Amino acid sequence: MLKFKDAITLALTKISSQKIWHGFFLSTEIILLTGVLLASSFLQGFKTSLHDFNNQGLNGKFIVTARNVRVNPDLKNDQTVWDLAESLYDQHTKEHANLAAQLNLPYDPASEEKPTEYLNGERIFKEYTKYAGLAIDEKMQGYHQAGLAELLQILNNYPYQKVYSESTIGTNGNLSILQEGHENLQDLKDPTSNSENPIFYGLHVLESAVYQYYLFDSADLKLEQNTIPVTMSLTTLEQYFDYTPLSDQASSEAKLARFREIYQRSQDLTITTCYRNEASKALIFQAQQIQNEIARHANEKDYNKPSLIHNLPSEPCGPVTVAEDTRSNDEIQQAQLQIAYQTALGEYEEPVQKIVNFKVIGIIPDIRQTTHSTDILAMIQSLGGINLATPLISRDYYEAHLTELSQIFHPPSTTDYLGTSESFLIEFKDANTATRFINEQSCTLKGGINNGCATEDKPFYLTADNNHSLIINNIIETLTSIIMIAILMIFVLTIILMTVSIMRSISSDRKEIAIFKATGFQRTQIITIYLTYTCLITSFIILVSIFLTLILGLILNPWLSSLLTTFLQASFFNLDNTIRAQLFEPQLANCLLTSLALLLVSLTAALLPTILKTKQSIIAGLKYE
Amino acid sequence: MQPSTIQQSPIIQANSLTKRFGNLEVLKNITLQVWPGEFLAIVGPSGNGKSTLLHILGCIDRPTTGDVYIMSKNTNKLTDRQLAKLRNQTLGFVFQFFYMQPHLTIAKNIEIPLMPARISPTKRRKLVQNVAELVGITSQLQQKPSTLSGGQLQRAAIARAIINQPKAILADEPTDNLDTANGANIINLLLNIKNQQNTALIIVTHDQQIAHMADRIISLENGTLQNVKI
Ligand SMILES: Nc1ncnc2c1ncn2[C@@H]1O[C@H](COP(=O)(O)OP(=O)(O)OP(=O)(O)O)[C@@H](O)[C@H]1O
Ligand SMILES: [Mg+2]
Repeated sequence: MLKFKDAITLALTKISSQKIWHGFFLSTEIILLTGVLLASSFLQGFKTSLHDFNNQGLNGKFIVTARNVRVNPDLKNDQTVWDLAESLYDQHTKEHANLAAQLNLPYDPASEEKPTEYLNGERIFKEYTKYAGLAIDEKMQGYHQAGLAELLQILNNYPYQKVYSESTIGTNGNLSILQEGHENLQDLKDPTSNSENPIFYGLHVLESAVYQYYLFDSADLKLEQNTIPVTMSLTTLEQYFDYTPLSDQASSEAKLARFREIYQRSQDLTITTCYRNEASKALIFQAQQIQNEIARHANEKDYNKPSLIHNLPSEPCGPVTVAEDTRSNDEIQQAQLQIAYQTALGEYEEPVQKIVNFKVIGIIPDIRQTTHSTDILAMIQSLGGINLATPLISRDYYEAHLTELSQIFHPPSTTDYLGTSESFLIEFKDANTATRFINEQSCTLKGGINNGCATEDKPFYLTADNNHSLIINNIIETLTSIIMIAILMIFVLTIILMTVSIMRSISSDRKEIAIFKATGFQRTQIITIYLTYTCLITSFIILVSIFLTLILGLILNPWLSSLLTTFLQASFFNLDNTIRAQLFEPQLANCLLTSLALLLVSLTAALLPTILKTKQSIIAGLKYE
Repeated sequence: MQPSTIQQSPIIQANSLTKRFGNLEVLKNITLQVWPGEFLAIVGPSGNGKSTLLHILGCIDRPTTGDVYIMSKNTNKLTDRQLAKLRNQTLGFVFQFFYMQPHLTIAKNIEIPLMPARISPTKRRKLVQNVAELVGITSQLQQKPSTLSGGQLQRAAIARAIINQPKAILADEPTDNLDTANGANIINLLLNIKNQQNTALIIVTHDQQIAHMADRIISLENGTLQNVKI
């Protein structure tokens, strides 16, 4: 064997003898390897940071939503439903006529629309008519809606943390927002074409434990009757405050600033609304119509004003007041009989109007972007939010104030023809169980959501769309594998370059090898020299690369990490500055593994040409130029 | 042709050597012995196989047929390792074109044959110093080969060849690249070494003067030994 010191001396001589291309090779190798090491450190940091941010609030939970999306029976085309609607019509109109006769009121059968009629000899079903609706409702009673019991049944084999139920209660009438104390009565006419979008079509009732993370520190879940504590969505509040929504391309800083602003403005926000039931709305509508009519005929001398004229409310959310009542006794009696008639039918409703206050006690950071993108950052940004239905009130509050609330809102119905008004949120401990549960137990949508899904075995449509931990988990995994493949490819390139260079460098040394042989070196001794050479050069590359990785990583880290922090704060609506992204996470194990692999590969690469070249005849080697 | 002392066995014994490069038969059935302490000159026209013969005798090349015995050992039957040891310990080769390692200092170049032998650093330094003094290049020891003159390189090559105190020195036209004065110096140097250490000296040359200083001259013509003069 050769002395270690000799081997080093000779190997170093070989290194110092290299040409320009060798310097080029060395720097390329160092750049590539530094790239590999830096990329894997950054990837790890990115993953950890993403995970840290994604681990906050509801996003840190693995929540599956279960909805009993029923297969809707084709009731519109079911002749028995038509017949049922007809018989309901007959029965009710007969009763109404009798009642009218008793009260000595005229009854006009045309005032109630028939549910079916013949058009060009063909019978058609008018599903929007009252009796058509009643018939469908009655039929729907026969269709079972799967509920908590069924859910718990199928959850048997899936360890879960907790099940929450979310129900929707719709408004009986109208809740319109008072703008600076002013009630916009024009909006009452047509609530659908509303410029002042009524935020409160209905409320969603959910255990506050689910969304506790999004409640303000000062949140009071038990406010008194006329002030309802609600949790609103970020988008709704943005609309309420009249902001123009930011574009998807807006900077993270801008998004974060907007969020912060809305968050701050919402801290002590109470939204005042005016509740009017249908009767109150009808009176206002009537008053408006009559006043318009009078205005239209103002110049006509012969025009007879109606005998009863109402003033529009004088104060916000007030009742209409009588402006002029010139009715005859007969007219007054007719009106009273009409009320008696409607009361007898159970359809009479006193007009109700009152101020209802909503105190905002939390913000659900909902998703702003809907554009689907393959850009990973855009995807993360579109998934950082929460997808709970809003406005939310807590189940406890709902149950405690059931009586007051039921004046304004109607309870969830199980006979809805389309959709469901109740869904369940199941919290799992880990992503695996959640994913397994969805994959194994979800029914499959038959086209759109209106075409149904539920089957006997699989009554629920299961999704993970309330929060995006599962999707983000997947993204992280996919991202990791993509980047890992890229890193591996660069690494393979590094290895190939290394192999080629070392082989080339050794092969060009035929003369030197011949001289060693001529002076009495054994083959193993020559091989030792070249392996030492390879070791030295590879170690040099590795050490310099690790050094550069550390230097570059430490230099770039503060800047890149703060960029990433802002991005993730904006994506995950995080105002808590204690969570910071750390992009640079040096990977000691990876580093060692990579280095070892590179060393092994280059030693193997060196071995082959050295073995071949030392087998050659000395004379041939000496003559080689 | 006969050795002075009958009992001695030859350092190098070549039996019926032939060497062919393809169709070209450069050496034809050559048999010869080299005795300890003998000065043997090989002469002959250019391209006639002198270098080839010297390479074979020095175990740097192999004959196509025939055997070379070094100190009575058949080199055909030696392992690579034993052959390397022979080149390192018993034979000292001085090439026509020196063949120094260009990136090592002269000192390191001279030291190279000591490396396989695992000799201690102090002893090595002393040996290098000794041979450098002997050949007269002490002041060039720390220089790189490219900065030396032909004569100095030749001396360094000789120093490298003799550092392990070989039994035979084989030199291929050692004065070819030198002027007459320098050439004479080199020959004197080699003769001194030969006389001091009883080393066999085999020199390929076409310088008649040098040839005549030899104990024995052999001439290679058309691949065979001719006019062998004592
Ligand atoms: N490796 C080889 N392959 C083919 N032919 C060779 C090889 N080595 C030598 N020769 C040929 O063998 C012959 C002898 O060559 P060699 O170098 O031994 O001659 P030489 O007598 O030393 O000549 P010079 O005096 O010019 O040095 C030449 O014709 C040469 O072309
Ligand atoms: Mg020659």
